[in-house]
Amino acid sequence: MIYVYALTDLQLELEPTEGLRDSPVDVLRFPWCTALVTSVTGVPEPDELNLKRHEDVIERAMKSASVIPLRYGQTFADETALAAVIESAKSAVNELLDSFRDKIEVGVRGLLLEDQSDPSATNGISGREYMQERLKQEVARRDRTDKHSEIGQGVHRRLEAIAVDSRVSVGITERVFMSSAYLIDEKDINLFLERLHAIEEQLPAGTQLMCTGPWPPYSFADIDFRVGESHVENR
Amino acid sequence: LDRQRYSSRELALVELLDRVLHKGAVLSADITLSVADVDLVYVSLRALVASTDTARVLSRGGRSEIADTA
Repeated sequence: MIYVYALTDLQLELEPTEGLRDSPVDVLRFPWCTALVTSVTGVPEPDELNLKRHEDVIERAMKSASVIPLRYGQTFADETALAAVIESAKSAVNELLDSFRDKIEVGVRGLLLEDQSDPSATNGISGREYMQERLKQEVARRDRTDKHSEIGQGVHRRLEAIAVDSRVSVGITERVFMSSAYLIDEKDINLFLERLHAIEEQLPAGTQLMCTGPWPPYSFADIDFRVGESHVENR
Repeated sequence: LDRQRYSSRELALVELLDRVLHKGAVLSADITLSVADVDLVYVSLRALVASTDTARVLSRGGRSEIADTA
């Protein structure tokens, strides 16, 4: 059984690298791409060490090649089975590898620094008053969510202008008002960070942006190549 | 309000889990993501991010420079 970390273009130059369970990472070369794999005897558990190894292998590959990062946990019976899937998705693989060349992913989360709900006392009040208070709190909560979602959309609009591609969700929880990912040309990273810090300085009090990266382009490799699909599905 | 300070390691791990377990291309129908402990860790860490009021992660220089600034 082989475990697959990523597909890369043919530019890949990978020094000997340890993968899951300290096993070596092998490079399988196909006519139009490579696959980074490790021989495994069973499905590897997604513990912290293995998850970090998965990520580390992909990051090492990114130093020399365009990479399609795979979601954790994908195994194939053998090289032939993997080759069959890759063959069926040849055009999509090539398209993604081209679009990811010299690109990195940056993640941004918008956080509220404090719980802004209003826990008014409800002891000793009538049922009617209690329900009215609950309604009032719910309306206030929705207003806050709408306001922070607008802030999140505003942040996103200013950041996506620098990105090649982007994904965003707003109004995720009471404390996380946005989560977004940006596919950025490597040469634009400083421009992106300058824009991010300028936005931060203009944010309303009580809000904050959290930025992480550079990541492999996980958020933009949102394609399902599973065998049995009649087509490549872009979710 | 929980004002506990959380480590940069935990925050970086949340971002790592979010990507490695939930994103990325899918080639195989045999994805193993159903280990309960990991799911629970993931939920716990997401809750952590949602409640932290001190954490700030800067991307300058990559994740190795993640830092709290409160």
